[in-house]
Order: sequence, then structure tokens, then C-alpha cells
Amino acid sequence: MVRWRNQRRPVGLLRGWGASTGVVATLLMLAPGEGLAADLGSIRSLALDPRGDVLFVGAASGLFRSRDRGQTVTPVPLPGTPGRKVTTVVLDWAAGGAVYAATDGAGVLRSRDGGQTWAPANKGLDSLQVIGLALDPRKRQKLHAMTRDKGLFRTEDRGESWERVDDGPAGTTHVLASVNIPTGMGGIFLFAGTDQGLVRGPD
Amino acid sequence: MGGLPTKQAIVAFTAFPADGRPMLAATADAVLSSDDAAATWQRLAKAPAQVTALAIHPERREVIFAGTRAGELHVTEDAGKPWRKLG
Repeated sequence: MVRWRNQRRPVGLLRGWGASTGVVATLLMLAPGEGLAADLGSIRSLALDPRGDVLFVGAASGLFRSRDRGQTVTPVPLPGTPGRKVTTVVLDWAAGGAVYAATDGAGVLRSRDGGQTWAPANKGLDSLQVIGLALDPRKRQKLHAMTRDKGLFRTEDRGESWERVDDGPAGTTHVLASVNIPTGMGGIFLFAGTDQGLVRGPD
Repeated sequence: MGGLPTKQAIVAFTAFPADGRPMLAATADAVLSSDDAAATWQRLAKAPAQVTALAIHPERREVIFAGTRAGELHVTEDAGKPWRKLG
């Protein structure tokens, strides 16, 4: 059973996510050569390759990729999910260009070739509404996925199969990340950004 | 359960992969940074407004990318001093 606990944060005004989710995402309507030249909608996730040359962007209107350090972005087509919200994009450069895209409706999609081709990786995942995805920075075959309605899931084989862990943190999760903390007891910890703050559980 | 007092929504979070320093978290109106495993947090001055996504360069912890609710990308090459809008 994962025990989640809140993380101390000393600053800032109280303002819940719920107060702002009613705001319709402002879409960029820019001509080529001006701005990012793509209509991203609200950006949900960013992932960089090790050299920082390739940037993947998960956004309200889908997945995008930049090859010029974010100056311009182009859409990355995902099978069966045109315009589907991408809640998280994760890169596993140790696996030779593996990319994971978590979607709100089509589950997790995985690419083994840097984002050229994609296939679903949802075996054992009870919900296709995936709102957070975290790659273990040490054991990179291990990932956690937080779903909107079925709790927290884990894979130990790069998404070949998933098993349910528990309900996950209380409240609504906005972001999930595995963090390597070598100091103190040391270890990998799973953090969730929720509408009730930042919470931590063991990986 | 821990029960440290917090009621603020965290809409974005990331950490440097090698050692978790820094951790970065975005609330509705601020980007916060921690170098001590989330024990204490400092607000990054002049961060972009309404940040909804964060990423740290995998090999250069001082390089931070931020995405916003409005679909903008920003980068800082020096841990927040200064930020530059991309595109």
C-alpha cells in the first residue's frame, strides 16, 4: 500500500486548480514564421532528449515535436487519436529512442523509434484516461501511470503489461514523476502534483 | 499519511533525473524550486505566467523549459535568470 504524504511548500496564495479549469485554453493562431507555428492549446508536458536537441510537447491538441530547441514545433500523429489531449510525454533515451505518450482517452502509446511509429501499450490498464505517467530514472523499464478513474498502475517491462497498485493520491492528480533522491535514506520516490498539493509515495 | 499543511494545486512538476536537484513545481501563479528533496521551496522570480508544464535539461540542471496554459514555450539557461520566450 503506497502511503502518500504532503510536501511542505511555504509560499504563494491559495488558489485551486478548479478555479482556472473553466478557462478555455487560448489557442495560438499564428502564421508560419511567427511564434511556434502550431496550435498547441494548453501545454501539459515537456520532455527533452539527453542533448536537449529534441523537445516533445504534450498539449491539449495532441503531441508535438521540436528539433530546433523549441523555436518551432510540428505535430506528431498518434494512431487513432487525432487531436487527443496528451497529458504526459516521457522519453527513455536509454532504450534507444523510446517515447511514451499518455492520453486522456486512448491510454498509453509507445514508440520505439523516436516518435515515428506508435502502438498502444495498455494491457492490464483498466482505464484509458491516463492523466500522469512517470518513468523510473534508475530502472527505466519501470513506469507508473495514474488514471482518472481507476487509480495508479505500474509496469516493470516498459509498458508490455500493467498491474494496479492502489487508488493513488487523494484528490485530482495533475502530474506524476519518479524522482531519484540519493541523500538521506535514498531511493526512488513517486511524486504527484494534485489539487491538494504535492504528495509523495514510494516508487 | 503525512499531513503537512498545503492546499495549493500543483499543476506541473519535474526533477533533475540524476539526483532530484532541483525539483520544480508550478502552482497557478508561481514556479517553485527546491534543492533539498522538497523540504524547502524558493519562488523563481520572473517566471512565465500560468506555467502548466516543466522540463529540466537531462544533463544541464540550470536549463529549464516551461510550457504555459496559453500554449507558449519559454526557456531559461540559468535557472530562471532570465526567461526567454521561444517561437
